[in-house]
Amino acid sequence: MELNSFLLMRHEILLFSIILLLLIAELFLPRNKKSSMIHLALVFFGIHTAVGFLPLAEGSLFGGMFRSNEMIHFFKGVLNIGVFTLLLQSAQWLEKNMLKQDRGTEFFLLLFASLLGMYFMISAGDFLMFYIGLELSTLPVAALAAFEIMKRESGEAAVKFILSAALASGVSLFGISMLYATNGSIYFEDIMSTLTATNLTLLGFILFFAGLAFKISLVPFHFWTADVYQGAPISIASYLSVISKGAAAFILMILLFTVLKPLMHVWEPLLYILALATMFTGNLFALRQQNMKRFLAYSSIAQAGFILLGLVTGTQLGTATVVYFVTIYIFSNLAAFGVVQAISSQTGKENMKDYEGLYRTNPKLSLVMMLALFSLAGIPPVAGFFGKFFLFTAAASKGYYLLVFLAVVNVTISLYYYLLVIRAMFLRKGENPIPFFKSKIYMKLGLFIAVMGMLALGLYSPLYDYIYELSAAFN
Amino acid sequence: MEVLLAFMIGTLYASGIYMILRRSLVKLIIGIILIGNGANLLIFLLGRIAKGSPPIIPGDSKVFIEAYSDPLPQALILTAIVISFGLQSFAIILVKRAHKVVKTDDLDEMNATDEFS
Amino acid sequence: MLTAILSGFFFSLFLVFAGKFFKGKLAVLSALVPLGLFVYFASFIKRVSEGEIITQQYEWVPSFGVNLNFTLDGLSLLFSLLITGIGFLVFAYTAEYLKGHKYLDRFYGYLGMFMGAMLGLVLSDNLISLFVFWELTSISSFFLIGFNNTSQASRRSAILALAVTGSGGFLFLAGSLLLGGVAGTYSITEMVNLSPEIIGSPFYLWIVILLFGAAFTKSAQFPFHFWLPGAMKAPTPVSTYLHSATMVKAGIYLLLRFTPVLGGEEIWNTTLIIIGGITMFYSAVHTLFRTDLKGVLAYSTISVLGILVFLIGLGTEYALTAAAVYIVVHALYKATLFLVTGIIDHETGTRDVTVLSGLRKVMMPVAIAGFLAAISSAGMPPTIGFVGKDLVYESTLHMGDWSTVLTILAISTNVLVLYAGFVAGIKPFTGRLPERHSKVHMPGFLMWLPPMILALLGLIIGIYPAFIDGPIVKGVVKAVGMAGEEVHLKLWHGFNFILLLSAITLTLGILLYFLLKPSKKREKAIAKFDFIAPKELILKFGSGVWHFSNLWTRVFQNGFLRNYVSTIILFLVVLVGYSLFNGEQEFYIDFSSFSRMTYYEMILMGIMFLSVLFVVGARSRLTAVVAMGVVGYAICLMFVIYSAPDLAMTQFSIDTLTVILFVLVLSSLPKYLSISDYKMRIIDGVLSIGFGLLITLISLEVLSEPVNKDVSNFYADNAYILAKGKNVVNVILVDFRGSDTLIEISVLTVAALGVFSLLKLRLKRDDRELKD
Repeated sequence: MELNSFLLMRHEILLFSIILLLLIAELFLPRNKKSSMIHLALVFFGIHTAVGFLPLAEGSLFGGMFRSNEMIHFFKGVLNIGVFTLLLQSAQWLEKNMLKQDRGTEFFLLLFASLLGMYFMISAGDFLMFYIGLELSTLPVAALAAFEIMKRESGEAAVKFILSAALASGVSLFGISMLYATNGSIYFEDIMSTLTATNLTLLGFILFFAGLAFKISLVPFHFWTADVYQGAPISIASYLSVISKGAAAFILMILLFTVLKPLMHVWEPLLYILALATMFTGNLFALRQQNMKRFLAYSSIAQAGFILLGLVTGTQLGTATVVYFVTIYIFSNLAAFGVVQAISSQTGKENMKDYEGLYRTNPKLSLVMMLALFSLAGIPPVAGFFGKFFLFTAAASKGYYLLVFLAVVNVTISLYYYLLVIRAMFLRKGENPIPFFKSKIYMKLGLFIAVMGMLALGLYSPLYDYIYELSAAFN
Repeated sequence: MEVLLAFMIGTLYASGIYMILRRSLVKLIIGIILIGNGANLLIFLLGRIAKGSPPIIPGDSKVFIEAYSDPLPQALILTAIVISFGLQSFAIILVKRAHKVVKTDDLDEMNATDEFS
Repeated sequence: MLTAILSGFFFSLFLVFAGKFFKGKLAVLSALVPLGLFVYFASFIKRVSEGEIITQQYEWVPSFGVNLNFTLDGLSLLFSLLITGIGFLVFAYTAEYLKGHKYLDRFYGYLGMFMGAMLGLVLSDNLISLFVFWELTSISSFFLIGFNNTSQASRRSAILALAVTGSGGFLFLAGSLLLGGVAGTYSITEMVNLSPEIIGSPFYLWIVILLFGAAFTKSAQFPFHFWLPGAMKAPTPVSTYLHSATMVKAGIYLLLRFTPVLGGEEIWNTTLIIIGGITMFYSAVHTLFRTDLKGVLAYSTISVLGILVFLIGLGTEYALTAAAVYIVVHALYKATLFLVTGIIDHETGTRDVTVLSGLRKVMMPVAIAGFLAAISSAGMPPTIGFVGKDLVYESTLHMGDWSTVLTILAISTNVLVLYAGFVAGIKPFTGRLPERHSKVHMPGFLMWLPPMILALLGLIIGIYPAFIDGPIVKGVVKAVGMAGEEVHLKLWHGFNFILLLSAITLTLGILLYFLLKPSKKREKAIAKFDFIAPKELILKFGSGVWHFSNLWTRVFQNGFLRNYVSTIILFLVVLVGYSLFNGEQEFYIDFSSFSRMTYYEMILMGIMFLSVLFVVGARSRLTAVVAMGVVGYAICLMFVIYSAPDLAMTQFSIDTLTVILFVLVLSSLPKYLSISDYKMRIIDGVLSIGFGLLITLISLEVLSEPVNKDVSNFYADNAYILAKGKNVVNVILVDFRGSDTLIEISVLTVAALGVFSLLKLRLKRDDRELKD
């Protein structure tokens, strides 16, 4: 094996080195200089993100266990930007709360380890690699959810998360073993050629699917979402809803469109029903929500339902629209969580009521929030509209008119609750509105990237065409 | 024999689920461990069982001469056992810490959830 | 044309940065933007009236057929002229009306955005870009209505208006997707040629329903009309511009635009006639019960919108010409009346028509403008209103069997519209000037000139209808697919039946005006019926959804992890059970392939089974943990029996570690709990036994299937040859699948890190406690 064929794992190797470097830095940095850890991690990860965009060859390693192509490479790049933005947005919170307890470094280590798990999941060429990646991406998040363990909710959130996660991964492993037992291989390539829809493969598929459904929080595997988002630190809620869900959706798409393609007649109706259930449940839950984190949790459940809309098609158009939508979703949600984070780390307020009159005191923040919510709601001309519109077109092109119509009904319901926040910010005066404050430079940069992402994706259409070209790899 | 083994796996799963549905956190973890054991046995069983023929190549030959039991599920299970240990030990510590903060072992008291306005 | 549309957006963007210079005296300069656009569009009148259609194309997302295609035909031209022309007057008027307002620059910003969006809406040929602009008008309207956001009523109306028109917009999106799917294009021009195929498709009905939903919500048709009176909470320039002259006509525009594509079918015509008819009469009656000038005007606007829908429903060339003329008529006189109302409100501080009178003594020019607008709304000669009304009667009389009913409906509506026009345009100026208004003075010329211009225009084109006939109205009629040869606008048709009808209308209307003065009593009386008004019904539906969402959340998202788990398990059991027994194959178990049982295996199983029971039933934590350990060791033995020595070793060490960890860590926990009640346990027991049973069945079925061992054989065959190892399991782990093992180690490391991070906190705290 050539040494430079390992370059195919560039993302993974770089990230792994960063983790090691941070560990070493932790050992040698004097105690009173721990805050430079944040800058260090940001610089490292910034470089990693930038390097990630250099072109990368296609191919596979270790006899097909690890594979990469341009689409995978592109999506890892998107995840990198997402995580980088997230780190920028979390810097203030870390500095304020976590450094005192000397817990800054673990935050980065655990987060990067989880991202590493995502990479492996995305690049997995067989089920074992996939399963280990799944565990690697989940476990650190549980530790992170418990990061503010001194808060009651944080501990509770971690307990709920780890137990649900354990159950989901157990079920998923069960499914994998069924698929193995019926096909005699764990390699995607082999399975793709031998897979037929017997009772047992169906079972295997359903159980395996549950594991990913948990990560994307599809109904009925969504229960943990709101409780965990609310209890966990905002950065982690943001990570779960943006990076973790985005990556899981991407992986689900890869698996459905390649390995599990022979079962399409099975997963098509399943996803159809789940899409509807997820959209309606998420929206109904979100409708009467007061806590911003819970609110975003439910809204992100509803968004997951929309993602399924593109998956259900199983076409190249579907692939492209899903990736495009997920990318937009990542930026929009990052912007929304960024504002929540900015306000919370400054004032500790997290309720919708506290946002009343925000436009008068902090017009810029409220404008960012408005853009983000419009994008999530799918109101033109922000990127989110195109995301939804393309998804609808993809579904309609397969003749799923009823599904599209019900999805539009859901967009309308969601419009209402996103408006509630906008009303609170722009039209209400508020009894004691959040006073004006200046965010730190990192936070500003983090919000700026998110907003730029939203605008670029919405107004610059060649990006979509690029994604469409890449998506040929999975069809 | 397989029938009995399958029955045993079912028992492990059933008891695991039952324990998970209890209110005590400790029972919950025990439940997860039981399910993990069940899953491992299941993979083992599905790879077909054979007595007295470990997948070790005899000392003087380069390949297997006689029948041998399937090595791949064994490798799978080994991975699964180790990983689930990681998960379990973390869960145990977490429960311990959570207990300190929340001051209860009762899951039903961990229900900070939607507030209705 | 793109520049024209964008100039509105650029203008508002410009104000974001340079806004502070435009708050004072310079504000009036912003009126130059719409004026310039008006001149630009007016320069096309000649070309368009000669039948030319000007198009421009910009690619946006070509792969989805979403392009910025703009066409300027007669219909677009009419609307563009209205938008920019009235826009110009409103911009100028605002400079005086909101003089010195703290956020005047923002107001202009929203207005500019709205103007750009509205122009985009009427110029787009692509359905999707049309939708984008459609939603933008709703959003800018939201901000403009909420501009006076100190009052709660204003906020409520803003959100209600956006909810209604925004949802309608999404119906439009759904309709567009369907239409695009059926026609294979999003271009409206191309759809006109495909009209027969679209009408013939099975989705025709759905397309029509969705587009109607969009048009009816935007143009405030019954039963969605209720947002418009609420939207009148906005500052008067906004009411003038958006909620009477332009935005609310977007729905009308849509219907006219699609007449050549979807029109001519019975469902299209009948629905429009019925909805338009109900709307025009229902809201015209409502004007009798209002005392707020803007309330009166709002309901009479809805009524006119109803008339327009009704006319489009009639669908004859007469009716469509009438619609085109009526759009002009209404824009001219209603904008005047709104602007006049704004002046009255601004100078006297009230809009209550019962206390206003005699104002002509202090503001004569305003009174003249109001009077001219009022007689135009009444349809008196020689105003353009007269021409419009004649055309309406002309078209209802041509409707065959239904002509009598429709004509009577039109007459009674017109009588009531006349009443509303008189109340708003004449009543405040006649009679005696009350004492407290004697100090009222004339507004600046920026405020009284715009309504004057509009009112005079109504008079001039009434006298010379040819001004708009050839250049504009014909263009509209041609754009909606008619020949445009049949009808010619004339003020005087000679003495005929229609003139008689006009005379009846006028007499009845004026009688009504003198007999029925606006009164508070009536307003209160009608308020009693609010609970069956569509607004209340829709709000009730909304709160129903709200309660349902509460209930739904309470039941499912209850914070109890156990319930979450049992829901998931139940879902899996159902799904798995279904696929097991309802699949394409039959369920079968092949017992013959199974191996024989030996007694020590049976003993082992017995031990395991017993210890599982112990685990479940244990009353103390220690018993449970130890029993769990025993289960683990039994499995370990089983691995030994079935030729898996590596597994046995791993299982043994991990099992031991777990038990030790359990005992050490959990020793300080409180009493081992057994809290669930009896019923709960039974339910859980049934659920879990069901699940276990399923698992057993599944594994038995799997064992009956033939198995493929290629990969395993590959490993076994090559373990020594390629990797120089004899223990195949080890070779697989460290060589063939070494990278997996590496990641597996990372997982363990991460777990350790997590544990460390949890424990560290306690160390820290203990340190601190010691120091204290």
